[in-house]
Amino acid sequence: MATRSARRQGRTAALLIGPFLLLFLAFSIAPLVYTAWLSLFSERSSGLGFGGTETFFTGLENYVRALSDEAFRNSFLIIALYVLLYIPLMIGGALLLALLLDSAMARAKRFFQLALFLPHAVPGLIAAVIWVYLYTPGLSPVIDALESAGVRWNFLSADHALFSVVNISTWEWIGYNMVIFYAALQAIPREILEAGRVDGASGARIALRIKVPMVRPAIALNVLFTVIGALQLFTEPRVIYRVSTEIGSAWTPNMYALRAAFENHDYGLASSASILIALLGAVLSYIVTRFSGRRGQI
Amino acid sequence: MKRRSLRMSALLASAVVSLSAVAACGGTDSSTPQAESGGGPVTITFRSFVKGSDVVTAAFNKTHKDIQVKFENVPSGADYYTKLASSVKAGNAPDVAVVEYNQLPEAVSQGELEDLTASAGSLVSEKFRPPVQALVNLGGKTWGVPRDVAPLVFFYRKDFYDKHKIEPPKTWDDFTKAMEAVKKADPEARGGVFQTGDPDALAAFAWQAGAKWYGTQGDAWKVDIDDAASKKVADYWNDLVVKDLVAQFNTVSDDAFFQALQKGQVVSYVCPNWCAGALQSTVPDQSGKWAVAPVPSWDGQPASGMLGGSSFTIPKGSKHPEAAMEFIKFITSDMEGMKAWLSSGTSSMLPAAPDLAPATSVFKLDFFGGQDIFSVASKAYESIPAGWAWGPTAGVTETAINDQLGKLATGEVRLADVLTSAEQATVADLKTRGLNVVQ
Repeated sequence: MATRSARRQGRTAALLIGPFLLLFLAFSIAPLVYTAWLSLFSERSSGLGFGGTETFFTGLENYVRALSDEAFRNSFLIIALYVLLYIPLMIGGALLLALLLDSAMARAKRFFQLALFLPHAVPGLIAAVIWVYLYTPGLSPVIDALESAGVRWNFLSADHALFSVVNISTWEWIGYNMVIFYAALQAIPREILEAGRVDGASGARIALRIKVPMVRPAIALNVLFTVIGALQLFTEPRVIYRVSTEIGSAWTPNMYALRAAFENHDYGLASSASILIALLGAVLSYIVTRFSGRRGQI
Repeated sequence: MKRRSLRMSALLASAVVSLSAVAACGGTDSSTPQAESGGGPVTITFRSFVKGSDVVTAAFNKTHKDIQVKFENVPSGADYYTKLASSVKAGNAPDVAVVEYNQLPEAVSQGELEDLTASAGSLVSEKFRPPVQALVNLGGKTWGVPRDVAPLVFFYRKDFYDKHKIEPPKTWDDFTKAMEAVKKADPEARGGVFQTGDPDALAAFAWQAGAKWYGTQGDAWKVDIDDAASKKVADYWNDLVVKDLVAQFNTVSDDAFFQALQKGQVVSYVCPNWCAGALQSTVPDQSGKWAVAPVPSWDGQPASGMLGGSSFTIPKGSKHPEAAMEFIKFITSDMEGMKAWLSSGTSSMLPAAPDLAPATSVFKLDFFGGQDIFSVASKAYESIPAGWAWGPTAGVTETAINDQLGKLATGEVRLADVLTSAEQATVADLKTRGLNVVQ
């Protein structure tokens, strides 16, 4: 009896996991293996090159080329700068908004929750296109308004592009993170907050000393997810690059890989760069899972 | 609800009518060769982004019953060539594809194209001038059939120039003075454009000055992007940009540029003749105000460079190369085909084959006050220095320049230095690909 129900359970599990596993294999694992395979080869021509290309096994040479390329290393530096600027702004902002929503004074909670979450429902590419329109001199009403106020700001220049991208990302993600923090805040037992109030703590003090520490695991998780996401930064800067080339074609690691593959026809280099990005993402993901595992034990 | 269904059926009815009209037209002509065995017409696909491609396809389909062409409209730019390369790899490439001259060597060296020597080699050598032949004959083989050439000319607002008594410049020295005069006449307006997103514009100016960025020496490439002529051109434009005498736009196909035209903030610019079509469809209300003059030169003698220009190719894997060649001949070397391109009104290209120049008469010149802009372009075509070639790593060269062009105004980089680093990047990439390079 017990074995039969266990078998049936196993079958149900297989049925439920099956579709996911199939798609996961086809669209995550298979491309990864293929990329790893490609990264071990290089295409070469000879003479003037009009005789087409031949493929050679070159082992780890592509990895060496990627790592010794200053452009590739710089692209990680850009990500680091981006993270330094973006995380405090976006996570801090999301937390502040969540605390405000959670406070007793907030009115129209549902409205603000929805309004702030809405940008996240806009696909990233479309969001980027809209923002780039607002960033383009001669088209943007924002720039016109700034100029009439005496401010000159080039959103698309190499120096300012980082802020422009952070702005787009913040707009897209702040509502999403806020909803998660808000849910975590809702889960705090009300007795604890009441105890604080009885002891004479002010609203701000309760928020800082009780609420924030109690949602710390949620904050840490979101920070790590955001860092991993930042590694993938591509859409926004790529759309900016289409209207202003100042940021360069290899601004982020993914842009570097795209350029190598499709502009320079160097699939080996592109694959090795992609694998390196994936490896870094895997290491960060491992940290996340370790972290959330520990949280489960608390 | 009722209204919508009525409209729907009207639409259907008109579609049926126009379909049968096409069929009727198709039946009247028999000048095409017999279709390959199997009876029904051969259907080939044609991928292009150049303006008027839909019109020329329709014209071909109307007169050819054995070959029917399905046109795929695709966006232009670097992504186009990415898509082409990927389709060849994936085995679903079109039968005919446009490839610009600057991209042809790269496409050939990546093994994306069929060798057309047997089917079009003699056509190319008979119909086109040697400098254009050199753009499609690579490594002793023919890879594409030229359609148009794109010599630089000078577009200017005649009303503005007349009003402020400014002469269209004959030399680049004059050009600087004209830029100063325009800015003085209207501080909001500029008389020239520097494209920060199109390194080929810079290449065209260098070409005009006699530079040869790519050349071959025996079995090896010779790259010289920062020669004296190119550096002279670089310093000249660097200066104009730093002094804010020309307006900066990503490209002359950008919305921001068209807005500036609309507002009268750009009153002249150097552009190939194909810009005329875009110009007249963007600012139709400025009709009659524009004119075309030869591009300024360094010594006052006629000289021009080329920015753009397309050839038509057969990507590897085409199942109907003969039908594809039939179509290519119609759209590149046939008077009717050439007229079809130009009758669209959006394409103002100059045919590469000199004997097809009369086809340009179908292009209406009202926008230019009746001025024969094609004769200006034809003379410019004749004055293009021979010996320019593009190389198999033109993409790398372009990206290396492109990524820096926006930084000139602040003085952060100098254009001449950009050329030097572009040359280094190009040579390094040629070597990575295993090609021979001499320096």
